[in-house]
Amino acid sequence: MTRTLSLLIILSLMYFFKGITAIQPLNPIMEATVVLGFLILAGYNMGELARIIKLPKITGYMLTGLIFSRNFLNLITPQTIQQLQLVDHLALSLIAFAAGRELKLSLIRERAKSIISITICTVLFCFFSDFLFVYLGSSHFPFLAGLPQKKILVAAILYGVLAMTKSPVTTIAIIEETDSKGPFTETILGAVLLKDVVVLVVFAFALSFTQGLLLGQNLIQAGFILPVIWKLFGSLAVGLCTGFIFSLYFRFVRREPVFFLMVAAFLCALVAQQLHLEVLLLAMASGFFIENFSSEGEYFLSTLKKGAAFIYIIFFTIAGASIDISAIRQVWLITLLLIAVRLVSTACGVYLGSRLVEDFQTIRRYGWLGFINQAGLALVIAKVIAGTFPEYGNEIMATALGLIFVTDYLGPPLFKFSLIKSGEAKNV
Amino acid sequence: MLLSLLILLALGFIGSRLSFSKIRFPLFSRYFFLSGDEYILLGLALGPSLFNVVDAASLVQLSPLVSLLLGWIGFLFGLQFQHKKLRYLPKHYFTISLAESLGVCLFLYAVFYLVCVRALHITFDEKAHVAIIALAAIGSVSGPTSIAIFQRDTGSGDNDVKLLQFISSLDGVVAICIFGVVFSWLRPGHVYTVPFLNSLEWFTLSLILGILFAMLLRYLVIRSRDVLEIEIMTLGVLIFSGGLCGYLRISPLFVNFICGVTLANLPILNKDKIYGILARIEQPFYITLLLLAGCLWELSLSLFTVLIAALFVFLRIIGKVVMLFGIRRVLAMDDDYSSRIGFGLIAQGGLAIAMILNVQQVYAGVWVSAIVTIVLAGILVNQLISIIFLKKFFGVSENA
Repeated sequence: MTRTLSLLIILSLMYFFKGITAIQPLNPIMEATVVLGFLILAGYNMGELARIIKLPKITGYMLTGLIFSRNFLNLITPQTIQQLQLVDHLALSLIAFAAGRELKLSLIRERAKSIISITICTVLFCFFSDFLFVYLGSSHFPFLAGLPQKKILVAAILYGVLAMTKSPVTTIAIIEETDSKGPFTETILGAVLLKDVVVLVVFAFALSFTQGLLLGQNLIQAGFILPVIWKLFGSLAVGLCTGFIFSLYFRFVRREPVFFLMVAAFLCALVAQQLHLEVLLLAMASGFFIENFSSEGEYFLSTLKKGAAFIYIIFFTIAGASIDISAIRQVWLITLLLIAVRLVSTACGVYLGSRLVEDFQTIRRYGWLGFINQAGLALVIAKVIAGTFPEYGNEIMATALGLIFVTDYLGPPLFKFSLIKSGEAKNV
Repeated sequence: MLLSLLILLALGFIGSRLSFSKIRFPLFSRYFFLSGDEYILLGLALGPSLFNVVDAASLVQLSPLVSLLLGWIGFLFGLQFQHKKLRYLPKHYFTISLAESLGVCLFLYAVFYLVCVRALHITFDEKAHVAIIALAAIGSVSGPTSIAIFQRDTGSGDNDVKLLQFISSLDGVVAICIFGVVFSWLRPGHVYTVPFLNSLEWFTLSLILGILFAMLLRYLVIRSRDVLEIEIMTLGVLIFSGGLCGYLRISPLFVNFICGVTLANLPILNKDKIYGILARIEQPFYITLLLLAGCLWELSLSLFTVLIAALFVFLRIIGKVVMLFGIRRVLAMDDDYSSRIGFGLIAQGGLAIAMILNVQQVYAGVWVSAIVTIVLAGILVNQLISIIFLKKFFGVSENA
């Protein structure tokens, strides 16, 4: 009751503000500040409401963004979301620090076989199942029907790559929220992060291959491969270096951890932006270095946990508000079918992957529930596809948005459920 | 933009480590450095006026941060006014403090009016009016840092020091209220948000918003025992109100001051926790505020600004010293307090800087640059000369 009332009060304040902006719209920066404050207040309350009905808090956060965006109440415009990009980047860097912190070398070594096996199997299963689904059923896709075989093949490959993506951010958020620790958690997280790296490489090759195929050029083109290799290895190398620099701070200064982490997160975002690197990988590598090679790292990175809720509220409310569901309406049936195919293939991939290394029963049974979410990378890939293949790029983009939208709301509760079933979730 | 913010945050962070640490500075510069005012100069060097490391476009993008910082200062200042705690203090503290700041404010207003309008024949339009009121209001504010440092160094804790600490901590209330009125009364000419509201309605709106934010925050955290929840709600409300004030061009200092005062006097268990949360981030936030003030400082050096700045410093000293001397006389407290007690109120602190930032945020034009130059230069000079006055007041020898 308190939460609902709080939400109503905050909402009425926001309506008051919108009333003013309707009279005279000016100063988009200040408008974004008001929206940020509103998202924090409303997001927190929605997260708590979600927790009461046993859903993950991040589902509440994302719903906040969705409900108040142009999709429903239209209190947050796309222009305002654009203004909040800087805050979004900061949040992403901090989440990636948290991801690195979760990667303990000793546990990874212990679980390496399982992580690699599950990653390879899910990647292969997801790619080929969606590839075959699109290729064989192309006549039922309105935007593919009647196109030459070559173009259909390209579209099928791109859908295959899209199916492989998985959002590490959501995985980390749910692990943090439930305070889960143990082999199940470690395996899922390790595989999700490894999958992110693999997808980047596969996408670079797929893009090169498909471009070559359509234009009749070399199938492997350095122009497509090299930037991705730089993005990948550059991010990891620079991330380890920044991790080393941060660890020196922890060793010799050891003060003001919260403020320092803010500066560090901005630094990571800035370096990634300037050097065209992947901020998620960079900051994750940084967090990984501090966690595993700095004796003081644990204390400082544990402060991340204290501020985690704040970071997640900002990140996921903005994520929720960023999706335009009107674009999905035209491709909703295809989207649902693709999701079904992906769910089955993920379940098969995780089952086979864990079976091959004779992993324990819980992973075989519930592990696949940790691989449902798609965001971030899927959107980036879809945007590149839309830009590179104008003939059907927009439809692929719309499908990707649909996949992200559905899995964003389906994935977190299912992953939380799997963590509870594994017995590793401490905070349910 | 990202680089600018990173520079400001990093310097704010490093600055907070250095300025408030136990580093021993040379005797004369010690008080200046420990107050952190050198960061205004550093900000000036980084800003568009000098090396342009933080450019004008980035500063526009950073305006929400300015609003947040102003809101935070106003809120923190307001939280001090907790009736339960203040009622134990002697009543004459309040009388002296209010009379002194109001007196200095009126004195400065009158003299600047006479000098600018009568002697220099400057047109007395809205701009000039805002400028003179801003100078007078900011001039009435004192800063507590130098007194605290001196008191720590000398170990003095007599009547005079206690009164000085009180006045320097709370005499900003008059200036903040004046700002609340001015921003409602003399609306900036270049923007008209909600044009149909009149001055009184603007002021009422500012008051209502402050009270509303306090009620909202109270409602949001009243049952919470979780520090994180209180932290999120407090920052959420501050960001929201900062943005709203920035949008409406009303003073975030005033609105959040009202919010702080209201919250401090509402029945709520978590007041100390909220104060603790805000105080915890005080140092880096404060340094960031100083840096931003420096960056936003468009140097407007002319004979006029230099003369007015000198006049500002001079009149302020006269005002503070004479006013306290007079009030002491009127209240028949000659034996209780030293005749030189006004010497302790020369330094100015974060509140004065926040106030001039607030003027700059709301109003635009060449005259604003001139006022900012006068006030910031005045604050720096006041900080430096306050050491001499404090030494005289405390009777500290040069080799102490």
